[in-house]
Parts: sequence; C-alpha cells; structure tokens
Amino acid sequence: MSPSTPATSPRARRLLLVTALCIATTVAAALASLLLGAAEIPPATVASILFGGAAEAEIETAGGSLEPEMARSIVLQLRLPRCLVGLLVGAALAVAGVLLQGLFRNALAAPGVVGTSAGGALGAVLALSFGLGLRSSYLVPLGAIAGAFASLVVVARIARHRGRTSITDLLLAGVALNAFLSALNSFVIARAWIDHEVARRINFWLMGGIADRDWSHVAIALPGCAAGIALAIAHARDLDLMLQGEDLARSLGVDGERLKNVLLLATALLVGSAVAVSGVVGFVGLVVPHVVRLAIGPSHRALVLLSAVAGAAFVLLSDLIARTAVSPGELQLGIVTAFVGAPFFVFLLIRERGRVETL
Amino acid sequence: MSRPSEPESSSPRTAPARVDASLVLENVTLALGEAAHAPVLVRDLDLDLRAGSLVVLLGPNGSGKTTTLRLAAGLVAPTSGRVLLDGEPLDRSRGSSLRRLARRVAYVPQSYQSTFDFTVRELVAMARYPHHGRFAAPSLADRRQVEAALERLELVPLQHRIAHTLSGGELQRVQLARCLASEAHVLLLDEPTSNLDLAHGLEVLEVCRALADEGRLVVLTLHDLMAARRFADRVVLLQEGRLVDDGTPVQVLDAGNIRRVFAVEASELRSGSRSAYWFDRLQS
Repeated sequence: MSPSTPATSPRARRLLLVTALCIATTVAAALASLLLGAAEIPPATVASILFGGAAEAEIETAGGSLEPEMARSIVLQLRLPRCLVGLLVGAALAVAGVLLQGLFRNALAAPGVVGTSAGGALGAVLALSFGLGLRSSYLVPLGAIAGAFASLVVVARIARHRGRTSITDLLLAGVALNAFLSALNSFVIARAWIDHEVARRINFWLMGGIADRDWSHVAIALPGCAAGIALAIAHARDLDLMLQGEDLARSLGVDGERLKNVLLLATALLVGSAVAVSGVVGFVGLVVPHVVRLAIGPSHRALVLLSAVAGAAFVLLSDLIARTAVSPGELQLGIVTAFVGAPFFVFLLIRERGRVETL
Repeated sequence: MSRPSEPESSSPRTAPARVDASLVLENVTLALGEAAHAPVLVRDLDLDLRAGSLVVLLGPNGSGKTTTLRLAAGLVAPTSGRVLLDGEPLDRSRGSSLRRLARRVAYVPQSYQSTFDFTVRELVAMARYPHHGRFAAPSLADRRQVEAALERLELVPLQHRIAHTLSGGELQRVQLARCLASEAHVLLLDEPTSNLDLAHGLEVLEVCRALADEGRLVVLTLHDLMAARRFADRVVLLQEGRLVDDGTPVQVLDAGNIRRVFAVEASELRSGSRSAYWFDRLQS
C-alpha cells in the first residue's frame, strides 16, 4: 500500500476508532441516565414511553407500585431533560476548553482555570439577585454569557504578551480572577436584598449539577450551545493556522483580530449557557480536549467535534456516579468532575513543566 | 520505496506558469506610527517584480528586507504608496479578499514555531485551507497538491512526523512544500537558508531556482552575497529602508556597493566561470 495515502496515516486510522468509541460511550451513558434512577422502571417501559408506541395501560412498572402516569412523568419530565442538559453542558464546556487552549496556545487553559466559569456565574447571580430571572428565563443565561465574556477579555488582556501566553501569567491571572469573582459572588449572595431561600438555592446551583433540570433548562442552554459549537466548527481551520503564528495565519487568509473576537464570543456563549443551567462544573473543559488531542492530534475540526461528543459522555458518566455513589442521596456533579479532574490537572502541570523551556 | 505509478495530475510540477504575474511596489513608505519623527522602516521604495525570476533582497540588519517582504505579502499596509499584485492593489479589507490573496501569494516567515503536535502532512495541507469553504472537506485535487508537494521535497517518509521533532533543514523543506501546495505563483521567503548547513542551504536555493524557472516569482531575503550572486536573476540592495541599487547580481554586487552598504572591502576571486568574494572589514 502506498505510504502516502492519507487513510494509512496513524492519526487518520485512530480518528475512526476514537470517533466510534466516543459515540458508543455517549450513547451508552445517555441510555444509562434514562434507565437508572431511584424509581425502578424496566427498560422496555422506558423505551415504550420514549418512543410513544405504548398506550398508558400497557406501561408496566416494577412491583406495580408506580402509576403509569408517574412513570411517564419521571422519564419524560425528569430523566430525559436531565440527560439532554448533561449532553449540552458537557459538549459546551469541552468545546469551550478547546477554543481557550487554542486561543491562549496553552493546554492548561480551560473555563474553570482562567475564570470564565466564575465570570459566567457572577453574571447569572447578578441577574438572579436583581430578580431578572423572574421576568424572563433568558435573562439569566444572557447575564452568564455577558459575565463569561467580560472575564475572558480581562484574562486575555492580562495574560497575553506579544502574542504568547506564558503558563505562569495565565494561571496567575486565572487564580486571581477566580478568587476575585468568587468573592464578588459571595458578596452579592450575602446582601440583604436577596431572599434567604433564593440565596440558598443560588449557593446550591453554584456548586454545579444537573439534578432536577426540566425542559426549560434545555431550552435555555440549547441556543447558546448550538451557536457556540457552530462558530467553533466554522473557525476550526482558522485556529489551526493561528497556531502557526499570526503572520503565517494572515498570509493564509486569516484575519487574526477578527478570529480572536469570534472565538471569545463563541467561548462566552458556550460557558455562559452551560453555567446558566448547571452552575460551575469544573475540569470538563480541561480534561476532555487534552485527552482527545492526545488521541487524534491537534487539527481543530476533528478536535472540536470529538471533544463535544466526549465532553457529553464525560458529564453524563460523572452524573451517573453522582446519582449512584451515595444512593439514595446524590453528590453534586461538580464534586465528581473535580474528583477526576483535579489530579489530572496536576499531572498536566507536571508534564507541561518540562515543555515550557522549549516553547 | 516501490510505488504504484502515479497519474499525470499529481506530477511534481504543481503551479501552472503565469507569465503575466507581477508584484509592484509604488513609492511605498512604512513608518511606525503617525508622529513626524516616527521610525521609518521603508522609505519611497519602488520595485517592479515579474514572474519567472528569482529576486534576492540584500542589505545589512535593519535595512528593511523583512519589512519589504511583509509589505509585499500584504501583512502590513504601507503608510503611503501602493502594492499591486497583477496590476491590482492588494485588498486586505475583508476575510474573503485575504483568502483570495492567500491563494496567490505564499509567505514563509523567518522564524517559525508551531504550537501543539501538528504533523508534517497536516502543516503542508494547511496551504489548501484558503482553497475550500469553511465547512467543506478537502477535495481529491487538494490532496493531490499536498502529495505532489511532499514528494517534490522528499518529505513523504517524514509526513507523519511531529513538526517540532524535525531538524531546521527538514522544517524549511516543510515550509517550501507548503508554498508549493498552495499553488501560489508568488513566493516570498524570509531568510530561508538561515540556520541551515551548507548542503541544506544549497538544496533550498536550488528548489527556489527551479520554482522560478517554472514561471513563478520567487523573492528571498538572504545574507549570503555569494549565494545571491549564484542563484538570483536580480538583486535588490537596501540600506536603512532605502533602495540602493537594483539589477543583475553582477551589476549590483560590485565592490563599491558592497563597501558602501556592508562596510566591508570585497575582493572578487575568479576561477574560470565561477567567482567568490573575500571580505575584509573596513577599518574606521
């Protein structure tokens, strides 16, 4: 076989395998999240509810303790929206991580690390605390998107110097911004103008999770996630070129300043939409793009698409652990992703340390 | 390496000759900033470069060679004057015009640093990005161009290697392959032989010479007067952003010009049809 046929490239071969693996894992995780829960509903029943093929009388429930209408409601109003929100949040955070790592040319950049999630959270908290959330449910995600965008602009200003981002500057700027925004969040929540119950709910939501999400949350997250991912795919090749240097990118047809603005906007849309429905779920945007890049290489078209799928799988699997680890209670999703992600972050930091000198 | 016979379409000669191609700089000045005493990188430069020739920009450090290339590539806009490609002013206003420009002019910066682990093949394939739409996959024609460029620069055995594991000479060949795969008819290369040993430097210059002979316009910056003398059709001599002389290597690279611009005394040594210089620094 000719050695120059693209199909024989190790990466191209691995791409097929990794794609199949990611899709299979996501489908399996989605099925598991629909089938598992406190109420035991047989898989056949879940299937008949989902595909609407069965009349209500035919729905069988375990032990007969569950009303058919109840089972239908659990699957359609609780499990399905929770599963979809998990898919959207995972995809959005992972793609946001890809974009941030490309923008900052640094594998340690991620929404939770550089303060984007905290910025989004502050935007959402402000919107909630001023009662905007009551006026329209879209004002909260808009607040989150605006907050994420503002934090991105700040961190980009601080950390980028002459077109490069040093790991130290990026992490320091991220740590400082995270601390500052968290303090602001606490300040806002602690103020007397918020009802005590609202403050408690905000705090709980900030910890990160997708429990008890309904269709309104799907509707809130969907537009921003879809727009952000579409922008990411459309500009994936431009990002490849930017990683070769701005002069070279320009000579290959990329307007660098415009691209940076588009990518900041896309990242803000993704993180803001995810934060608005799930609070701060950490480490998805750090771990997923890195693992996918290790597997298939840095070409951003495939990286964006596969990170979206893998991110969805990661969040759904983490949510399954969150739901089942301390049954009948639940862990917060953010706790599970941090439990996996934080050690991985330290591992990356150690690995990157040897590389800095060569940059 | 045994290979099945290739169809004609992937023969190494990748760009059709365009005898009408031209790159013209009209009274171009580039100053850093608006102030009256702002540093001027290039002043009142006039150049008329035609396809089918290899042009070498020469001059000491800071003479404006790199700036001239960047102006020609449309990477910076002149403060005054015009840059014309094939008779039309360079239009850098919109994304689509940048992409159109990218299909016609290829540029190789002096220093190059790839972030993340892109392979040689992926880097060469990037030359095809301006040729297809945002959502389109690379076509068979795109792939053929990449294959042909890899073959011509003998990069096929290295095509799956990660770029930053390559030697300087190999990386320079990757850059040339990228230019080739782009089908651009104007190639602008900033010090393509810096950091290369003698054999690899000669190899790069031979490839550039061949590309010019096939009908492209190839513009290089160099520091090596003997290489310029040997490979160039035309030498443009710059000093402090101004044009000093412009003509054939023999005309431009005479002892007087060399003394004036480089502050060295050049003695020409001849052996048959070959010649070389011996340089002595001028005593001040």
